[in-house]
Amino acid sequence: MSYACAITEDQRDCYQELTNVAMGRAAERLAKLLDTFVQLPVPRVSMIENSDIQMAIQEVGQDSSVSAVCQGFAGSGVVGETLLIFKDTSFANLASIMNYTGPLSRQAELELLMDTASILIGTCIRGIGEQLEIDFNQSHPVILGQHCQTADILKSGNSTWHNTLAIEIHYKLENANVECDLLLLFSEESVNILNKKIDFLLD
Amino acid sequence: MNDIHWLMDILQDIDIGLVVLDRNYQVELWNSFMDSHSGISPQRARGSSLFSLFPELPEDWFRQKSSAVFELKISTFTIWEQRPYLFRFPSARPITGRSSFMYQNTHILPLESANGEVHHICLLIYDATDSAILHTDLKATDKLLRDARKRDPLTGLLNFQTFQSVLENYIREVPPGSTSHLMILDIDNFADYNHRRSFSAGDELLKQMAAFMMANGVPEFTARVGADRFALLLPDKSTSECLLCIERIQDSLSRFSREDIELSFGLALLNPEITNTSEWIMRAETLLMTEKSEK
Repeated sequence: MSYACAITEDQRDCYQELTNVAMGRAAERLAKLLDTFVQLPVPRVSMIENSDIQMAIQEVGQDSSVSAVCQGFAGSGVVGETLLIFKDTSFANLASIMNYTGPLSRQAELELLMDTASILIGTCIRGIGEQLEIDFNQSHPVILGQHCQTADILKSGNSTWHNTLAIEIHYKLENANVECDLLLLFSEESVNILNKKIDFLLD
Repeated sequence: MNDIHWLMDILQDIDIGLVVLDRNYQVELWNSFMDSHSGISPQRARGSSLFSLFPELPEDWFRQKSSAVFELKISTFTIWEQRPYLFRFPSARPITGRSSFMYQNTHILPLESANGEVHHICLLIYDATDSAILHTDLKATDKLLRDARKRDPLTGLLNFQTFQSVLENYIREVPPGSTSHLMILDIDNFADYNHRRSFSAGDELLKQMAAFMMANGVPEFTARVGADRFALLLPDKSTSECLLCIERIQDSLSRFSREDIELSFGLALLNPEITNTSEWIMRAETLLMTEKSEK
């Protein structure tokens, strides 16, 4: 069974604005915690096909292996998943920003990955939830892979969706060569619920 | 009014650890999961610092995880892959659980007061032992399967395909000027041996051959490349050392089978003219065939 879901131009702008506001709220607190300036990216809102998701994440993994974490969220019937994909070349700089000392072992990188995921995903989901008046519950994060190619992150086959809403935020830390991609993906059923909420905001 | 009581009972008895901490990391709430697994009663826990109750909990690490919860009002998570446990509790299934301790996933969430400030955090402890053990099992099975694909089932030596990639890596990485030999060995009149004794005796001879080769060479450079054909990569060995090696294998085989077993071999030195694996193998095979035809 496929859910016909689509978004209008107005809705797209609204999703973008929603994400902008969420990130704006987060950025200030984030900068304080990380003690560095966070460049606020322009989020990219699009409807993507199942087959396009590889391409969406390929960008960050160009010429570099990546590490990735995903985490589910749910609230008021809206269900989705966040994917955080890190360029492996980012870890050394990230370690110094997050005040990690000691050698950068695989274990230390995992800590960094988890901490950054908690912060970036947490602030973003909270920011969006606040505006939509949805109290999102987050499930436990899952490691999708360490030091792997983007193609290995998402195992192809047995996926249950065709076409869905994706919000992509490409983070770059000023002067620090840290790059990561945060992808918010909603379930197909959720898009219609979200659209109704968005239309309410638009009115 | 009933639901509040029910909810309290459920929180008390749920199979998840619940701890509420204030900004000084002093315990304000401690449910029965924590009581049962730690042996620390709520009366004792309440008002004590978490770090004094569990001196092995790394304080800086935990403070760092919690600071984001206090400052950003977001949840943070830790998973067992990152740190197997926060509190060393014995396994909930001590007999069949196959782990002496409880793996834990944790979730730290902010508790907002009426004015929206966060003075307290809640720590949730999930027992993740089953998934950790399953994950470890899966990884072990995966390794076993991948290893099995690389080897010949009868002798346990590398199969031809794997040996080819081993050679390939070797040619790429060996420093120029080293004396490395590739030896291909063949048991003379193996078909006769099979017919005279039996196929199972033949198999046994092949297995012994593999064992003697591993004992006289580098096991990870030893392969079975055909029915009764074997290959051996001998790094940093002179030609006379290689010949000695064959002699030893041949002697051991003869002693094992209580009859004279002869081996034919082709021994090819890696020289600058050899640029790839197939050239090297070809040279050794040609030498082997020459020797065989001269017998």
